[in-house]
Amino acid sequence: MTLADMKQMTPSHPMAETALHPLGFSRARFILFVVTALAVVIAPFVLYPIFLMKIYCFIIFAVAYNLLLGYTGLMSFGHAAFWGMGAYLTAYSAANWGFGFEAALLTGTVTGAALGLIFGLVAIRRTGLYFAMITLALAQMVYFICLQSPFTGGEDGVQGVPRGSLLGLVDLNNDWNLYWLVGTILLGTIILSNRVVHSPFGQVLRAIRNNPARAKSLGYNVDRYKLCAFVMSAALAGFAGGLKAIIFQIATLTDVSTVASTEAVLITLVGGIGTIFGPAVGSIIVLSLEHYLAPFGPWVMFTQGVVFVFFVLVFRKGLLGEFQSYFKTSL
Amino acid sequence: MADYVLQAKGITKSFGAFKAVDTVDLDIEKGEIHAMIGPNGAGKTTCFNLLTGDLPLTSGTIHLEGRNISGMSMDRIARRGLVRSYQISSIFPDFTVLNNVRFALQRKRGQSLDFWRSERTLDDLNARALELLEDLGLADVAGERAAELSYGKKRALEIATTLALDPSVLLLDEPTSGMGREDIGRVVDLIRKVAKGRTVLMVEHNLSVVEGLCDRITVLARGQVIARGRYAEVAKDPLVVEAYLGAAHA
Repeated sequence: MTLADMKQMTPSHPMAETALHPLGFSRARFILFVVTALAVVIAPFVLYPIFLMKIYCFIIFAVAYNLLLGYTGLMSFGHAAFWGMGAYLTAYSAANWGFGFEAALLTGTVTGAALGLIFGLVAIRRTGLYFAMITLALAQMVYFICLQSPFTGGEDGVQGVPRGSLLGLVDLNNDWNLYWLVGTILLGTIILSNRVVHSPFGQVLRAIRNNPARAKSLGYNVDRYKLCAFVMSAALAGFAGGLKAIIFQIATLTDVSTVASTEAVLITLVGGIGTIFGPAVGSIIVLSLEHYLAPFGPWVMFTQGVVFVFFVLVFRKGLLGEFQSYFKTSL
Repeated sequence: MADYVLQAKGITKSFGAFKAVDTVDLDIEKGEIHAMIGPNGAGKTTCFNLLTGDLPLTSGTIHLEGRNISGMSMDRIARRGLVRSYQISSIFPDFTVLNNVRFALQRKRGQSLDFWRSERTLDDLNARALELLEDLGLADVAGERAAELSYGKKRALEIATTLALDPSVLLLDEPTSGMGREDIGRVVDLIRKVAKGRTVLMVEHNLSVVEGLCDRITVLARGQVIARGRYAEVAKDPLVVEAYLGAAHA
């Protein structure tokens, strides 16, 4: 290769990428996006739409989590707080304040972002295990507050959340209307995450994950970038939780408990951290296991454990992470 | 403070009862190449860490171009034009060699909070990044993952990344350590080249490099300055001969 060729070349990722496709995807990611879009269109004719929408919400939740763990290198054990409080506030504002679909969802998103800012300001200077422990502790405090305060409805949760309509035009009480909306939102989220990750900002996040000390010595305000990523992630998690509350018309303590945080970690690790489509793959695997093993009762937990151990031992980088290394492309 | 671009007064770093750096004064003149030498454990790298803000000062003050930078965070100091390289190569292992350098150039351009545009907008920095890589003999590995470089090339990459910021004061922590003779020659030429128009402070063990390259030197032993001045004068200083050169030249 001559130097002139090299100047043309754009190795923006370790594995140099080829031409850029519409929406900012590389070729490999564009193919995956088309596959995902087709799956979203075909799936409701084969599977139960409500179950599919649940998967989509968890994909969005995992995309949010992955932005932090996969691209910034921050391990949070407290994402249930953003997801759960997003769900609560969306549900509460829709049920009690008469907020429409959009306003309720926005309330959930802002709640996630605001909580994220608080968590972030407390935790961001710590790294590794300490960071994880602080986020866990804060999330447990949020859980306790939810358990005690009247607005969450305690064990009953916030029930009877009206779904409302999209822009006052499309009735979302119709499962099919809601499905197409959630499917579109999912695809939009994937486009958004791809854009953020492969932007100049995303470049800084990846550098911070690689070597935070060097990023700092080159003049980057590392804490500020981490905080930005944390708030973005929390906002998206709040949004996903709110969407779930609208679909199921309920927000409960489970959403704000460690179960939800564990789910985010599990999905992200199984799918492949630091990949755009890993959260989708991870959600499908993890939620399908839960769904189809549900008749076996407590064995769900056991099987989940086995799957998790299996993935950690055999696919250390997660399913798509391994594909990514094998095909030498970024997915 | 005349033409001192970097001036440290009485800087001290204690780790418990141990004073790694003990009331050290440094006066670095604008445009000079200044070396800090001394036996292992003399506190040279700790001194660097204090100057760049990697470590907080126990006491003392540091002025950069007449402005007090004591207690500032590392990234703020870097943005003021004082940038360093590390003794143990500090690179971005998963990035390509080119992207390592480009990442530094990106900071200078200041659009790093832009999360909406494609990273392709950074491609126009490639040409400048490649120039820097050429200077350090890394152009042929520009597309490789930085983690896969040899030890010497990682060092060179780190220097290229540091230079990409075009710092007014450049701190190099043992830039030639672990390099072969040929690479050393290249790095010495490079330092001489880049020193034009900026100030260089370096820690260096290779005395022939210091002798050929540096205007003035400061000798540290056990956390204190024991001599300073031109190499020829300092080399004759009995304290220095005893503490440091003694071992090498006896």
